[in-house]
Amino acid sequence: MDIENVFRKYRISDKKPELVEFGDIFIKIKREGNGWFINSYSRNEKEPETNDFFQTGSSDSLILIPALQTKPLVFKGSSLSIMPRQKLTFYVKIPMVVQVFHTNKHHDNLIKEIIHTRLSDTWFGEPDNGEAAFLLGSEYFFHIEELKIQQHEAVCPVQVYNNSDKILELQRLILRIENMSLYKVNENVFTSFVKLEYKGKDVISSANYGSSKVYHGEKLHILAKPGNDKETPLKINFHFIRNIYKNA
Amino acid sequence: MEFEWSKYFSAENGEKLLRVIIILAVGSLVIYLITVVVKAILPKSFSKQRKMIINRLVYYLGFLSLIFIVISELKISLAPFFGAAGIIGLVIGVASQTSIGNIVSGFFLVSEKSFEIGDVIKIGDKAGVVYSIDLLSIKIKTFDNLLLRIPNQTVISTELTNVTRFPIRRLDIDVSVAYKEDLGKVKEVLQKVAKENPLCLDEPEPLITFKTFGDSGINVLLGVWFEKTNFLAVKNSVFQEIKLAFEEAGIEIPFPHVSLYAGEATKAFPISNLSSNE
Repeated sequence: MDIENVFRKYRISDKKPELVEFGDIFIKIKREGNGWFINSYSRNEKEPETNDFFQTGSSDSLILIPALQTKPLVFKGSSLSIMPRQKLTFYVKIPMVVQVFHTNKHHDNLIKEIIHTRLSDTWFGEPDNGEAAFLLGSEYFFHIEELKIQQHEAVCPVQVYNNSDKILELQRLILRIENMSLYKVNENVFTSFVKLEYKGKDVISSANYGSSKVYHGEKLHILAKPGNDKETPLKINFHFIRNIYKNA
Repeated sequence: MEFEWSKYFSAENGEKLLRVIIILAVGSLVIYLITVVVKAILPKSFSKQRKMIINRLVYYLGFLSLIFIVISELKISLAPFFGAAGIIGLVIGVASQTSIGNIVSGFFLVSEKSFEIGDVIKIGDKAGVVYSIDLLSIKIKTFDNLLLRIPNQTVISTELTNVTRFPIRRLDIDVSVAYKEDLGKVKEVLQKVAKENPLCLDEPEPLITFKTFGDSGINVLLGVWFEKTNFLAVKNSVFQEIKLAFEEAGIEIPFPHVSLYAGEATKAFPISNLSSNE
């Protein structure tokens, strides 16, 4: 099913429910008076008996937008090593969420976020001053053909440049999704291209989130803008975390 | 001797009194307005506790200034007050020894920053959320919704645990398994439970240690890390999942039991179930 069949504007009249299929879940939308009954459930589950109701006003428009999770994602690349002055490019798959807006895409009109896959919690940094994140896992791909992308997944191209004199063992990599846009590329969704430059253990590394003709095509088709409204270059340490609690 | 009322209730004194009342009224209003403005302009990054301290400082300094203004308005000489300060200080000191101790302890508490408003703390056998930090005491809202007042002096002299100071915590769960069980398998099952629970963090890694050879089984500790806000959800879900995972893996959780023997050479006493008619 084309993603544009899911992520679009819906005009739904009274009493006729719309069932939207998104990956492994169904999103059921029903207009009731000046509001909406909205619910989601897995393919393997029965339809829930109670639905969430949102009183929104007279507009009968509802818009579904793809988005990413609320917390940064941590990729565990424990088996990836990059020699000095080498660039490694790989892809990871990120599960998307569906944002439901009424009337128009203004952030005040966001009425519900539907999570397709609940990712596991993780922590990036020291226990006393790190940052909460979701665990993306350790699955990565070197070639786009290997990906077998599902409808609810976005492809994230990542490039890591080891601009230091030592081997870089990529242990844990944080992807700040609030800086990422979502693009439609053919029938798939791609996130911003993440370019990381590692300059050494004691030097602040840089991360750049942006578009690339290679991955996003000549003409950009933006589905969602970054959560913080800009794809900014960041100065961050991105890989230093080691399992220091292993023997605690 | 005749008391000269006219000396005190003169027009001049009446005017003075009126002026003092006006000064007090206007002064109180100004202090109130200043505290409101200060509260509004304090940066959002400031903690609740810091905001409260600054606000109270403004409030007390304001009223201290107001007292001095009133004294100067009444043209009262402060020299006799300062002369008597030693005696007054001694009297006040003896009378309010505990209160002063609490106030001083309060300053130490504030400067130490061991906890802030909203933190969950444990003092002795009491625990709850810090509700307010006042001049003489701190107030805690317990989990069963009671307000607990603890004098600052007690807080400073008692061991205090700040449960929510750091963003993540470790929950330690003691599990006991029967002696016959394969400990490698037990460890594997516990690792799986921690890994599959979305609220348990993979980093820092879960801790699994074999603690002691207990009376009824081998005691194992599972420590899982989680975000501090998820305490109850993690505790309940991990507990249930351990039991379920052990049942599925056929791992026995032993209950306390005693085997009776008549002597070295005998087997355990035979037990038979007799009905009430026999």
